[in-house]
Amino acid sequence: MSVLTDKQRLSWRRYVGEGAVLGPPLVFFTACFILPLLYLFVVSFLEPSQVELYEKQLTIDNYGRVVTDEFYLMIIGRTLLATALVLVISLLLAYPAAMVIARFEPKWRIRMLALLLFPLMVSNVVRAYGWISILGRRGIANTILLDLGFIEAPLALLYSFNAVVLGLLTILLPYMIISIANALAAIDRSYTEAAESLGAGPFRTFWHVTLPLSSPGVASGCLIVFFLALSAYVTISLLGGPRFKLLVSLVFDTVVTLQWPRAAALSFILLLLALAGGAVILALTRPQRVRGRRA
Amino acid sequence: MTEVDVSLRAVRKSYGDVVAVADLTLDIPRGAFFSLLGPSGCGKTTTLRIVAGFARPDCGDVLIRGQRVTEVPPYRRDYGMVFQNFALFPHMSIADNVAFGLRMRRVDRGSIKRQVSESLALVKLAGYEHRFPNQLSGGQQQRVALARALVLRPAVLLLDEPLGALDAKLREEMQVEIRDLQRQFAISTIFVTHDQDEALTMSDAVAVMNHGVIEQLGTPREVFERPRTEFVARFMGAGNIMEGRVVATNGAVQTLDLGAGSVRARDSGKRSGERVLVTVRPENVSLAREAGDLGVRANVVSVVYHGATTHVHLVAGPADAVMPMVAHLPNRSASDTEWQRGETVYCRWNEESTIFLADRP
Amino acid sequence: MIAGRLLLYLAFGLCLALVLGPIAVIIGISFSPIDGFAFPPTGLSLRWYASFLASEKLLDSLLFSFRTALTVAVLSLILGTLAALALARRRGLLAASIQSLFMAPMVFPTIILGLAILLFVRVISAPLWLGLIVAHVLISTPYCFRMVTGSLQAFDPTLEEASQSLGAGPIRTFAYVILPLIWPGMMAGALFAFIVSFGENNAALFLTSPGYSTMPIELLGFLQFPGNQLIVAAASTVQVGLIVVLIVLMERLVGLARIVRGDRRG
Repeated sequence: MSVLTDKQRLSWRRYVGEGAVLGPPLVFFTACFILPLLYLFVVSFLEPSQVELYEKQLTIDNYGRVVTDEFYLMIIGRTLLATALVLVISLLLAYPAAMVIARFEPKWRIRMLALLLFPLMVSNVVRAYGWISILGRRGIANTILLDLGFIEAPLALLYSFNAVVLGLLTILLPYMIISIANALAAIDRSYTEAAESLGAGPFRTFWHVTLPLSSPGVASGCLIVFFLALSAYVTISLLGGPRFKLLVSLVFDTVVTLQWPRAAALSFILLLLALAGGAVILALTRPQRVRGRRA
Repeated sequence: MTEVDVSLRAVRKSYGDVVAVADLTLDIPRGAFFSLLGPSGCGKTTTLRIVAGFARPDCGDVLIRGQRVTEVPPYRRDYGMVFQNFALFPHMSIADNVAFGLRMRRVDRGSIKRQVSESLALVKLAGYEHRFPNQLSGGQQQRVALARALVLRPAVLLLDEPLGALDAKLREEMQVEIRDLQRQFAISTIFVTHDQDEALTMSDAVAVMNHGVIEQLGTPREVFERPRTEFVARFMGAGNIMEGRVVATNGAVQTLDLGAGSVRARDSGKRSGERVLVTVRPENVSLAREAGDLGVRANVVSVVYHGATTHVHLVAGPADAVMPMVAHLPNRSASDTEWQRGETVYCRWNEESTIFLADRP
Repeated sequence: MIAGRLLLYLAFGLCLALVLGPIAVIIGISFSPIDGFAFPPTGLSLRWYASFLASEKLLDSLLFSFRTALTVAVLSLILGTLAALALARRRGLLAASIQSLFMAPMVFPTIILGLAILLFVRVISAPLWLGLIVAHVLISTPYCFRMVTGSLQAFDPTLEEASQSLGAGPIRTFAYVILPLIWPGMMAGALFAFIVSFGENNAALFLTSPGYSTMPIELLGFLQFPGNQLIVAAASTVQVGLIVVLIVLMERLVGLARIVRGDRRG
């Protein structure tokens, strides 16, 4: 152990001044990440203004309006419902899919994960457009159904709650699958073998051993899916259409109409929702059960 | 006076509350193969790292060839080092690995090429210049690491458990090879190991370390046959530690009472009645079923067959002060006595085999 | 048991279809000869690629996206590498918090990040495109940070000591030993940063302006009006092709395994 601390001590400190290495990224993140967010936070407590960005007058009205207005509350409720639905469905689909992938040989597992990673790199505009061309009035689904004579007139599949949930689900599903598959693949086979040798059948082995051991992957998958679902504006607006709103759409609308303090307040409500949801996810999945192991 | 290549003067190093090296003073004469031997955490590796400059002592001084290098960074000290995992640069060919130190010293190209092939030939790896480390076996990597360190003709060679990563058979071969190279170069060498066999077979001098202190420094023979402390005795495999007192001195021979029986020893200078701590190497112990004037009474706990020898584990002494003992008996013929578990026997050894240890602190 | 396994594979197949289906559809219809979709397909044509190449607006945005992504990749690489060098072998609460700060933009709502930077840009009267680059550097740096950290953790610290023991000082040790060993990770991180910036569309919503618009934002504009939408399919296919090329490059550099782990957000 003494050797290790020594190596650490030697590694970088003596090389280049530590400040010179850590300095630039730290300054950049402070100036361009923390500072603008703090500023946004301050703005969320200022009076709106017709001519300026804001009036220099403190108020909590920007928040008050949101939590008392029924429209906002309805939107928040709908946002939570949509994200919860996305979360549950993606978990139900991703877990079995991850189990399949985790059983592949390492070489094929990695290729499969790369195949799932690839769509994540494609712009969300493009991926949402894929669903538009499938579900649109003149899209693939309607054309085929019409041509085959199942329907008389095109179905309105787009611009609905369902379309948004489907879009978010497919855009975020890879995160969940990759997280869980990596966690499952990291579980030492001897654990499940030990459980089986002690008389647990496949279902009880899964329930008492595999599922708890995979909880870090489930937790990180759920957190990512939840955070990104809350803020995936482009997907929501393309598949929900101009009239279907979630909380993040309101942030965008208020910015476009230049109501800066209101937009700021809505942003922090969104962040608060994200944090609260994150806490609930952690409380339910309890990934700390397998701390100390890499998953 | 012989020339000294490395000396440590009252070197001290602690990590937090843990003292890794406590006021160590050490001189390594030119050309000596010097081993630092001890269990993990005894401070041997820290001592080596202090010489190498990877650890800075809290106080004390390090000298290489008479020059004080305590504050000199590692890359300006005159030594070559072989690391436990060899630490060959994976992105460089064997030739580039060996040439690295020469390049850093800005030796000219032609001379580098010549020296690299010379030193690869020396470790029997001529023709491997363009291979890469991951294409070599463990033993070959070890030789490259040696060549890389020796090509610089350093004042001192530092070996940090360099055989730990090799399997048993290869290890023995490399022991011989390293020792041959060391003699050929007549280079002062500090060898860190936790394996007493390695230290005994390779070294001119062995320092047995414990808790940051050198418990005993001597030739392999001295350390093995005449351990001075209980720790050294145990570490060298002489586990029979016994307390007793001097009861009689008769010329050069003393009689000791060990509680479970009496033994003889060479005169230690201790007076009658004085408390003593002694040990005897297991291979010097013989067993008998008959009681006599001398001999420690003990019960056989287990008998383990080891091929050339049989190890008989015993307990001696009263229930409240049990002394575990062990005897290694040579297996000479089928007529050797068969010892049975539970039987009472008498352990004997001649007076030269009784070794006095420093009293327990 | 058999039924259970069948169910697993059914879910797996459904996931693949849902995730890859839309992209496959876009590639398919980008070759459509008519403005729309016909079943069964009536033939193949490259007319939408031709109109993509004829659209100055889209080509300009493609070029702008490319330049932005390149700038972002270089800056993220520098910041991410520095951060990784400083933190890769540090333990303790402070190091962990700084590390979380550098990783945070990966999960932070990008639209809020975009808004915060837009407001900031307004206040200090900086050009909007600078804000876009700043936002994208923030979003991309975690990828470089993670890739380089992976490289640093993968290599044996005794190599540094070996280098020093052979007479190489800190600068030469960095140049001859550390840099060559973390170089693939750095390049893979830069490619990641490029891809992330190239496809980013939430922060860019606020931070683009006429003439300084990225391709996803231009495509978004096209989708708001009916007709001629297949030009988007062609442009998207071009983007997908570019990403495939970059993934192959990364695979060559560090292997797929590192990429798959490198993107595990959170």
